[in-house]
Amino acid sequence: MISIDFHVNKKDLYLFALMLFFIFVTYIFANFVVMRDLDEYIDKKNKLLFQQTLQKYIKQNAQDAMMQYQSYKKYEPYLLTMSQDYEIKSLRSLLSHYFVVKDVKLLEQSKEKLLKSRYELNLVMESPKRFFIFLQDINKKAYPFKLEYPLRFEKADDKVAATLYLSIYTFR
Amino acid sequence: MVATRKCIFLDSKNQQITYKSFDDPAFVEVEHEDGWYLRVPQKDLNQIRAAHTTASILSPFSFLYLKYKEKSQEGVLWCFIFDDEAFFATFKDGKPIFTKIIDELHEYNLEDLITGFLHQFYDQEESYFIERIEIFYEEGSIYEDPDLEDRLLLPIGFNKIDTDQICQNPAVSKYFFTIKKNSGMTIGMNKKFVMVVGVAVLALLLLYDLFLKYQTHTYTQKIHQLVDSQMHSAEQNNEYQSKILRIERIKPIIMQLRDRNELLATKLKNLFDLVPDTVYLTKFELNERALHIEGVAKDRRAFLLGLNKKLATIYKQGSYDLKRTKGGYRFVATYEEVQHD
Repeated sequence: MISIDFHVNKKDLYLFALMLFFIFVTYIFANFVVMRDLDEYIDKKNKLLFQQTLQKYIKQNAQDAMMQYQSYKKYEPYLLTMSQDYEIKSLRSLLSHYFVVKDVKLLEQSKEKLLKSRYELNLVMESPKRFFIFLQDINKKAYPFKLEYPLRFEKADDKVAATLYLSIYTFR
Repeated sequence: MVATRKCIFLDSKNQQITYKSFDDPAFVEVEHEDGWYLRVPQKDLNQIRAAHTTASILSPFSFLYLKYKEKSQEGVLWCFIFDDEAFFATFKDGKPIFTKIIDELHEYNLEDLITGFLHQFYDQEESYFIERIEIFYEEGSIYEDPDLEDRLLLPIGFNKIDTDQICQNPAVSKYFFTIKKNSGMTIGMNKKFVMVVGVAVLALLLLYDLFLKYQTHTYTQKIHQLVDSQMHSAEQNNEYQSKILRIERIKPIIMQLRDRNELLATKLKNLFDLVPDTVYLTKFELNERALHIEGVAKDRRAFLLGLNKKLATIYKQGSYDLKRTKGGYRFVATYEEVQHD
């Protein structure tokens, strides 16, 4: 027969109780504090991952938009010039930088995407060279002006009289 | 059937006698009735346990103490001899006064051992006069020397012991060593170990929780930063998109007017370049598909070859009126492009 010594004394029971206490405290702490914080941590981590993906997407979009905008940048000054009002007075003032302005007449206005105003201009210039400088500046300074046919130039004394038709495109 | 209890005597030289208990996990203690303890290193017991799986372990000193209590005699030198070791003990008022363990017994004779012990014992402050010697021994450990009493001048009791019989004694069993086991429930685990492990686990959990809180806080901050950045990027994107949309709306018109202006400039320049020095223009009217000019040429040839011929290469149809005047040849000419359907 085999006999086994199995002594359980008070000290062992005390240790057992102590161990149970630690297990209980550990369980309570792990279950009600650590697990809750772990859930929050995982939630935040997932949110961060989502935000990082979203960030990449938004950045890519912004970059694409910027690239597209770069290719359109040369047209941007027109946004400003087309926002201005070109009334007869201001138009005369602008033209007077190039010509002696005899008369400016508004012939017609039509509105589709933009407001188109058609003017008849009676001008006097030293030489046709002034007209070419004006044409250059239209494109250079992004004026929304379009020269229309016919273009009429006539000798008047030692100067040149011109009758031109100009369409101006504005937002309003 | 009644199980026969087996026991063995502890032959470790590391047995110590103390008057108080030490809470040391490396030692196993046996408490004795009169308030003294016998402590042995756990590893010594483990070695014995490995050799004798189920046998109970008893210290020779515990056995001698029992005999001392049983006979209630003071002034006795108690001696236990087995195998190649001898255990000497003296007791007073229930407590051991002086003890000694001698191994490799074969190198000594019993008389020298006893006299040696007595000399050391009498040097102790608490020593008393030894009136008798009681020797307990296993068969074959020593030989009984009848002249020893005469030589030592002390009465000696030789007691042969039967280990199996001793083990059956209930009074003996309470002095068996309880060996701490490494497995099974928490028996044998000590308080410090449980405390250390428990506190360590809690500390680790706490650290882990702090780590989680810190990481969560960091992630929250990063999310806020990302949201701010996204707002900025989105605003920038909207701004670009808005400009792009507005530009796309006006782009066809801009291209149209730029092309028209450039075309007109080029066309006019080319036409003016065609006019030779011998021809003087007084009127110039350019229509979409026609050109009307008036002026004065130095001579007929200057108009016809210098201007008309060149214009005829651009405009397919043309008519002119050339009249001689005082200052030269006055001309009125109209040119038209051929319509291609």
